[in-house]
Amino acid sequence: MEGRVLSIGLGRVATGRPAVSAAQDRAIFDRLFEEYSSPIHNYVLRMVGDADRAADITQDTFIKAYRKLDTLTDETSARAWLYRIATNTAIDEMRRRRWVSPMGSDEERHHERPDERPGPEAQVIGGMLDERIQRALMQLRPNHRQCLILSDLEDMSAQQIGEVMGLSYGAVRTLLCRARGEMRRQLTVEGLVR
Amino acid sequence: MSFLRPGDHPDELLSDSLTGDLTDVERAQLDAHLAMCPACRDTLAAFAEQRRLVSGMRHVPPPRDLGPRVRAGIDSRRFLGPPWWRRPRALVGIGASLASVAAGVLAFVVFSNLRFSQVAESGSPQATSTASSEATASLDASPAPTASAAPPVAADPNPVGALVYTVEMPEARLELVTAQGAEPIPVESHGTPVDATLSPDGDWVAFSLFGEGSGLVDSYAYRISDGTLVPLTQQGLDSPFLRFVWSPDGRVLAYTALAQDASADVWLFYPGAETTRQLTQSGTAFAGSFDGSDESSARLWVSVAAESNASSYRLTVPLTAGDWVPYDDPSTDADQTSDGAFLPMLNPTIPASQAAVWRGEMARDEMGWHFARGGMLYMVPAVDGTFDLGGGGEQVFSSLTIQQNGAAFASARFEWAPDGDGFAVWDTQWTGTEEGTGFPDPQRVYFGHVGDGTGELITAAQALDAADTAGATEVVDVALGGGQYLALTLRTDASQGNEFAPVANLVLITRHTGATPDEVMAYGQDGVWNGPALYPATLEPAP
Repeated sequence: MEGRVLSIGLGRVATGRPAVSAAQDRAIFDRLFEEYSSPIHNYVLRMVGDADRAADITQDTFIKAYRKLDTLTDETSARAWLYRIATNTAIDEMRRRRWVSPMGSDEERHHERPDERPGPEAQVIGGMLDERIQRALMQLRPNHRQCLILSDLEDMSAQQIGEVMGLSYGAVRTLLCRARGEMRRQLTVEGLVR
Repeated sequence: MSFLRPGDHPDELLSDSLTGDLTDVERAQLDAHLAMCPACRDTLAAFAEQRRLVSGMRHVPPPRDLGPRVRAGIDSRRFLGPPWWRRPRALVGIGASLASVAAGVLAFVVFSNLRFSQVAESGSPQATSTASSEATASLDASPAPTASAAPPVAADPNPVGALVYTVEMPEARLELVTAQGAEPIPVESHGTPVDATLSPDGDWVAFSLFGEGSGLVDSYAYRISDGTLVPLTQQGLDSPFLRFVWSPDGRVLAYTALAQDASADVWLFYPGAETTRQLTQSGTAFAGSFDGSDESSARLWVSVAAESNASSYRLTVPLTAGDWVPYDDPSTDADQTSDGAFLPMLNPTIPASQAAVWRGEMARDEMGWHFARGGMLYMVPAVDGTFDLGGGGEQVFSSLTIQQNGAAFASARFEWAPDGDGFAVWDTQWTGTEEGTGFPDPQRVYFGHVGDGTGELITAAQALDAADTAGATEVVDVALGGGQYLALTLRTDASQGNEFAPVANLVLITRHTGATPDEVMAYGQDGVWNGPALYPATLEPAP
């Protein structure tokens, strides 16, 4: 192998947005946070099924977003960009968390977690229904769960889901169909659909 | 779309109809089909109800302190210093032994005009001091192993290539970089390189990409000489038990395809025919190692995972791609069987003299297989050319014991060095009580030698210096080059601020034991993912 050696010298890659001041960055970020922090948190919550983890992941998502603001070329594409960061952050957290706690602890914590927002009876009943749906969601494979939530809860099109998940339009349609079939079975187990 | 025939149940169209993703033609065909298919009407109603339920879940607002927490996180990291590998504290293990890496550095200069960044900067008292103290602390904890008894090798410490994933919005780019230059690899679905293996003849690279958005893995074989790209697996799960295993003559590559439902089967890739063949179809089979061959066939250890104890079977594999059917049940066609053994990983000597193998009770969850109870890695020597994989050998982690509740290893990643004596273990997922302070540590790489004469394979003393992986959140991959050299792909600390895009560093380590700290060289800069390094498959013994 003499002479076959590696040398790599790679500079920081160019990004698509002209330089702006820190104050402008902060203003853009504040607008994004104002508009998307609540839906991103709700999305992540449904992905991981745990309020504390959802808050942590949402926090990390926006810190990352701030630091990667120079890669956001157009504020009109901010939604898919932020959901992608949130998705990556959530998947990373799930991968790293896998061995941290004993199997089943997520579900136990989910059940044990008190509803912090007590309200009228209708809300309590709604909460119970939510728990059953959430339990069904948590039985799905992560990418099925992600695809289904983006479609049904976030009302994204297959094209938009593809932008978030890095998949083609056709792949999203196939994935979404499989996710619906799987979710149908889980909701049947919960007695919510036939 | 194609014409819908009676008996078809177009679930995908039913799903698409809920989100308005149908063309007019598809809508008309679906309506016609629904008029005559009660089953699909039921499915559509169930899908619609499912969508109504999910979309009606209550919106939970974030905690009130989310804003302050985000601002605090941003502010606390705003004035980050240079990346860890450029900080003085990171200059560990370098200064005292720069002379010995000078040849390697010279080689870089001679063979390439490309820029090369090196961690080492001599003359940093702080760095030298830090390295020495850490090494000493490690020595105090347990005795250092003696020098390796491995046969001498003419080890070129430099990898022959690397997969480089360049983060460039909106397009990411994957390249294979060798001394001959950088060559783009035309993969449609980009991801970050997490595993790579060079064929024995050096003509093919088998590699895996981890899709950051999907969390799934795609694998390919790529011929360096002409750019031929062959997909091996698509959209599968990742697992520490996935291996690329070349036959010694390079005529066939065995690998495991782990589907999204966690079903696993062994496939073969034939470079000569540029084609793949499925070897098993049990849904629970993993590729272990090749174990001997003749002119027309090779023997491959295949492991079958099970909720209780796994088993391993040695199967005959043809060395040419032909029309043959997969094994339904490996147990009926094996010429050797080892109950209780999972994933035999034979060392690359010919014939193999050692095999690392897992034993324990396995379980499957949504992310794939792992050990649920009593998972432990063993090193088994060959006796008269055979291995007692199910019961022989000694623990690789000599001092760890399986706890009463069964807590032990859930998994770990393992790689042999080309000399067949050195090996590395990393990504250790230990569910038991740690020994001392943080052993085993999933962030550390453990580098042992079968023939080091200590009587123990891996203890805390075999951990690479903490400074070697300082600032890294994850060891992505390890490649070994002889008895002393490792290339690590390190995912860097999230606090570096560029973590939306994958950020990793390719680090080349010359391992020293005792008081001499390791030597560390780093490649590339932040903003790119320097994927797994490719070492030469064989290193010739020194004359």
